Amino acid sequence: MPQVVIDASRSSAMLNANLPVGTSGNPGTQLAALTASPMKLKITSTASSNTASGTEVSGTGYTAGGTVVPGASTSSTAGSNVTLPNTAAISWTNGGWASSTVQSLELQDNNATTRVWYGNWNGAPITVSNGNTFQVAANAVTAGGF
Amino acid sequence: MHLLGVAKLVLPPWEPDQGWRVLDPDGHVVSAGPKTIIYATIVFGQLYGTDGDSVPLIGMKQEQP
Repeated sequence: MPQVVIDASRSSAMLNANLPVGTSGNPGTQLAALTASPMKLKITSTASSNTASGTEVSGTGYTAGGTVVPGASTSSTAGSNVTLPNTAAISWTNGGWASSTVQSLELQDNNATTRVWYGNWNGAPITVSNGNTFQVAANAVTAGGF
Repeated sequence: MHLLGVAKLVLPPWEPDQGWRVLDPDGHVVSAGPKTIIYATIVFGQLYGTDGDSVPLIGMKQEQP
């Protein structure tokens, strides 16, 4: 089931950039550029919302802020969706995580300062016991809707 | 003659439409799930409050109850 999944701050920035909220009805402030480095996929053990991240997975086998995507996704054209990660799977091995549950994903910039997309994994909550590996297939996540 | 060493772990291929999986240390699939869709929709009424849906937009058709 598709979810509504854009961070509230980013959502407002997108709207303001494309609506007459500026002076005299001009378009509002245009979107601030995200860090020009590979974006990161982050996983959380509790559900993320449009205003706050869930509790990020922590412990051996996971780097805070998430993992960079392996390559460029195919750009959206004519309103098409975008899939990621392209073109390889991403894996995390539980080497003693604070929680063995994976609930949500988040896509954010490389500095992990601007969160854009979020959502629950289809099938969450997912149990990843100590020693096991959570693996996301190439192009397993589809983002779109505009 | 004994051949000593550790066999390279060969992971199973992904099943069609599989989006994620959990593997044990031997590479066996413990659990798996489908792909994930994150989809944003803009609903005019939600953007502009309770009056939003009553504001006619030129060129847009209002849904009938």
